[in-house]
Amino acid sequence: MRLLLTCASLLSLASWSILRLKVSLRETLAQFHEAGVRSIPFVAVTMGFIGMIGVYQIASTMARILPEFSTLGAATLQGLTSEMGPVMAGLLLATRVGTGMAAEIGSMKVTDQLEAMKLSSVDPVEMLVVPRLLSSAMAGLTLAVMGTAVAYFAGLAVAWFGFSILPDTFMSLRFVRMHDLWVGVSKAVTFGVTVPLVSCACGFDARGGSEGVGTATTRAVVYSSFAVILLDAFISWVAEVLVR
Amino acid sequence: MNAARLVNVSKSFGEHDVLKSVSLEIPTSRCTFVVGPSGTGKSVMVRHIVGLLRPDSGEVYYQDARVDTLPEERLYDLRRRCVYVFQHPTLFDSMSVLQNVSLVIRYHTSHTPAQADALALEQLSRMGLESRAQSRPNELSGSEQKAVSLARALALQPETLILDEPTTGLDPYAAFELDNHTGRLAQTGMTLIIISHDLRSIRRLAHDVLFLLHGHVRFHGPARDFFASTDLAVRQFVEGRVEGEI
Repeated sequence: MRLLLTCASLLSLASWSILRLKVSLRETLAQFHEAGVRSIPFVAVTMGFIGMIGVYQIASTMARILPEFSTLGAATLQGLTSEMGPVMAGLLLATRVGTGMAAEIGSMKVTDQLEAMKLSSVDPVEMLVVPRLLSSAMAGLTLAVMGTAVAYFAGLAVAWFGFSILPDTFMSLRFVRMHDLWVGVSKAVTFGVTVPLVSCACGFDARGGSEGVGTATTRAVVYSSFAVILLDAFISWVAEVLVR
Repeated sequence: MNAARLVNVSKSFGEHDVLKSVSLEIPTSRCTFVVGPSGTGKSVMVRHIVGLLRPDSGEVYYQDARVDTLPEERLYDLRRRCVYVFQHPTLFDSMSVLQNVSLVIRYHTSHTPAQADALALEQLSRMGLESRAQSRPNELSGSEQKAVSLARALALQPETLILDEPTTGLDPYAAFELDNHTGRLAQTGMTLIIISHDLRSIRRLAHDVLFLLHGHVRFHGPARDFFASTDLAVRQFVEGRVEGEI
């Protein structure tokens, strides 16, 4: 409950800062480099394996039931675009970036650096939270698009070499609707905002010494991953209702 | 005119009553030392002045503005004029020394980053720290970290500076240097509120002394009267005796 209140408070204060254009471009770009650019190898390798494993499992099952693979590529792309791409990017962001944010802010909290910021009349939300929210929203979208592409092409390689499905057959857009694209983009941006919000809130709520920082880091990865899954279900549900 | 005024301020943490209906006035343009045994509420008292703590009852004023009812966003303006420097150096450890100081300049003025860096460097050179500008805080000694904290506070050009035990943990030479710097600030007419146990600093710098004991103001007056006081608790504190009320 306390964490939810902190998240709500941080979101409202950060939104107010953004509306007043109180945004440090330099810090936002630095954070984007940390959250987005430096996450590329981790996300690319992970999504590559997910794409390969996913296609291998589906193709193996299809081979046993109905050895017809013409829809495999289109179905894979549709699933990756609206579901697996943004969700996995969100979860990987929580693991790699959220923990770092919670540890950094938590450590600043327990060593009174946040209080010192306030005493220097520097708003910690404006200085720490806003750049992380904006950069992570951009990083969430970028990583989701890149991760989807990597997973798809890794799956294509497995389909081609493992099941002799030609790239021309695999590369099909016929199941992907504009609706899937919007759902995917909405999820990626939402997760990109949620992960730093929850992680920063865990950092701001840190208490005690190094144990408090450790607890904040654990809470950040648990609650931001949980939030990603819950929001995924919610956005999927809303999207289905809207389509109907 | 008073820099700060507390009226019947009480503050408790759990069942521990730290301040018990404290009333006092701290004048402007003077150097006031807040002294007393550890755990007697000195830091708690001054934290009320910058709104870091709110009293359970009573009123807190900075100049004419009531602090204890001000919302957080209004406190930022007050804290720019009345800067509090923590006992332990609270430097931002992800930034260089220069960035620690230039951050507050960039945040509060329309200077370009280059101009802010130049001003920050000037501030650091006054403390003899220009050669450490690109160092990280963890590469500095304790006294250097304290000096950077002071430089960062002074970058805001405050009218009142509150220092929480500035010489604690410093070697005698570093403490003497810091006192020299504080003395120069006092000569500019800046209001200084200094929490300290360091009798040598008090003798050198204090205009007034505020002696807190068990949550009450036991003595408040000119420094010479403090050292001449016949109050038993004051005598015990000044003479550093173990036996007595403290």
